[in-house]
Amino acid sequence: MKILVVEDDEMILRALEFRLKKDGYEVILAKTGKEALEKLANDTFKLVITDLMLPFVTGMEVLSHIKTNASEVPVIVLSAADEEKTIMDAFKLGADDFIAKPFSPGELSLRVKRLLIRYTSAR
Amino acid sequence: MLSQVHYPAVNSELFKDEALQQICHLDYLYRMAGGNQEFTQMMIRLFLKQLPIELKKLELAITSENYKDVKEVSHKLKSSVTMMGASSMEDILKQIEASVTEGVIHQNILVLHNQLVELFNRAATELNLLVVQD
Repeated sequence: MKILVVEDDEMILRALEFRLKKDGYEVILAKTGKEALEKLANDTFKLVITDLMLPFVTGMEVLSHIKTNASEVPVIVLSAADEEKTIMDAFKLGADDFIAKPFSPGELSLRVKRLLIRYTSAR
Repeated sequence: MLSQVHYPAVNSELFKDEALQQICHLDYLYRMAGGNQEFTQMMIRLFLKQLPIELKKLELAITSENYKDVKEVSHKLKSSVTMMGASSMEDILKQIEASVTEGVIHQNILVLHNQLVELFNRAATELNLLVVQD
């Protein structure tokens, strides 16, 4: 199963990649919103995990693009826990779940698995 | 335009007691790594490489009074320092971020930055002991 991870912080990006690969997923990385949109245009993903605070093309724009053009793809947003308003805005835009940074590895695994099961069985 | 308010000087007493304390606590990193040494080494090296660059960006943002960037850079840095268990650095970054968010610039924001650099230098000394040389 292919997961797109969008995050401009290299440490968080590598940690996500490490954990998701350990869980058996194929992981594609994007360090910017622009790169994410390019990858979304050229490939299909079972799930997208995106930071909200990205430079230029924001995580919100990535989320909005997915919910408009590929609504069958669940999206988990990453944010600092103290960004309540931003997180609420993301949910209003259609985000399926939220993970606080720095993330708990167990929590990440569980939330990814749960969403994939839900979206796969809904088809 | 953000207003300027005079705050008391940053409490340097805080650091006297902490002078002997370890900066990084790698429990989170080790838990994430699950025994994978390669991953641990990669993350430590990334931190050592990335932080000086980001701290320089922060300094530039502060000296050029680009408070939007000050907030963004300090916000982003929080995740990295938290991953390394550097709570003293996290606290300073929160102070810097809060002062911009609240619209009042701490007159010692540059002092806070310098303290951050000092803490990073101590963290780097600790972490370099853990890095396996190639």
